[in-house]
Amino acid sequence: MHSPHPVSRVPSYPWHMPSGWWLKKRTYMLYMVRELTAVFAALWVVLFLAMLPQLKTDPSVMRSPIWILFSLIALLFVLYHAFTWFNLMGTVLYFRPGKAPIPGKLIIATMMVVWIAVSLFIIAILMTAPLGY
Amino acid sequence: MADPTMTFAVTRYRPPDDREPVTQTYTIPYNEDWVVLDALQYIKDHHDGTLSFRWSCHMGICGSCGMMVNGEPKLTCAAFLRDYYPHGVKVEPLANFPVIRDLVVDIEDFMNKLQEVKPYIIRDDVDTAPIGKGHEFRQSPEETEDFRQFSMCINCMLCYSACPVYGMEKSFIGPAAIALAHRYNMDSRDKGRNLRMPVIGNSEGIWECTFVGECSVVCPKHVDPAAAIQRSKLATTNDFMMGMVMPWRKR
Repeated sequence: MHSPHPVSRVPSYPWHMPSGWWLKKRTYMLYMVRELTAVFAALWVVLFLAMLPQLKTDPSVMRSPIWILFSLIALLFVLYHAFTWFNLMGTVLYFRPGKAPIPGKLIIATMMVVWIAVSLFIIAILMTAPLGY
Repeated sequence: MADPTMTFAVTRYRPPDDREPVTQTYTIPYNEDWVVLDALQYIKDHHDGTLSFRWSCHMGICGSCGMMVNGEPKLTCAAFLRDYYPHGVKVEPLANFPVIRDLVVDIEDFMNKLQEVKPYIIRDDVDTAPIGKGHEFRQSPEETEDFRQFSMCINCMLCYSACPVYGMEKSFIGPAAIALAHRYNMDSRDKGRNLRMPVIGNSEGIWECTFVGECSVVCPKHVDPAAAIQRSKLATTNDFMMGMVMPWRKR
């Protein structure tokens, strides 16, 4: 294992990370946005779980304009997160079943198609299932 | 008409006279065939012979001349003045590293980490394999392709300079060292994976990476360290899951 505090043999001027480093480059900013989207996704799930018990007594709790607006914003962030996630899969996954590896673009396209198909399937179930209120 | 010139803003740090790095501006003649490294050499030859910077091959192989050029990590031997002219050029030492003098950074941390990942083929039968056909550890072109791009790394450290995770967390092993560990892990002739995975498969290795991806963008040799790290994450996860399901299975 390497030393957590590398010791240098020569005196040097230490590196200080600028506090606004992520504002200095577009790609760093997009990375931060991608990370931030996870916060919205987690927040939506926590709020959703917190509201579930109230559904029994007050079914309108999930029809409030604020909740619907927040859900739409969270949905946009989640879609961005999911899109960037699947887009990276061509880089992450490496298969070479025979002589040549499966192209990254094919992996991305397959994942996107499966993602959309599963999403449409879930939407279809939700649209047809009796919600009880 | 006067000969065209360019302005260079160069970071100077001359301890003990300078308490912190300062910027000094120089005017040099513009030559469209020059690279930033040539301009630095001109400054050294004609303005200030004390200007310090590293270089060796001048042809994108040795990986010594990496610096920040207008805020981007670049090999200065491959950064042509014509791509910046008529604007000025700002040259700084590689970001995320301590500065020893002027444009020279301390690379000791990287060298230690590189050594720790054992970037060489490991096997214990090199001397005992029978002489003749069996003594060769053969590899098909397809097997070479599994790691070829990762073997192009020239240890120039531009990826470390582009990585904000390394900038904030110095214990992170970093992109190039992990890419090289992955290169040998993927080599069909290598048997040292179990020695490397404890070094990279922890919170100071692959799991410190949050996939910013800039390491792969700035690499002058088109290596994709971000891919190496994510693939190593997948391999480690796979090892862990298989170990849970089949504890008797040898990796």
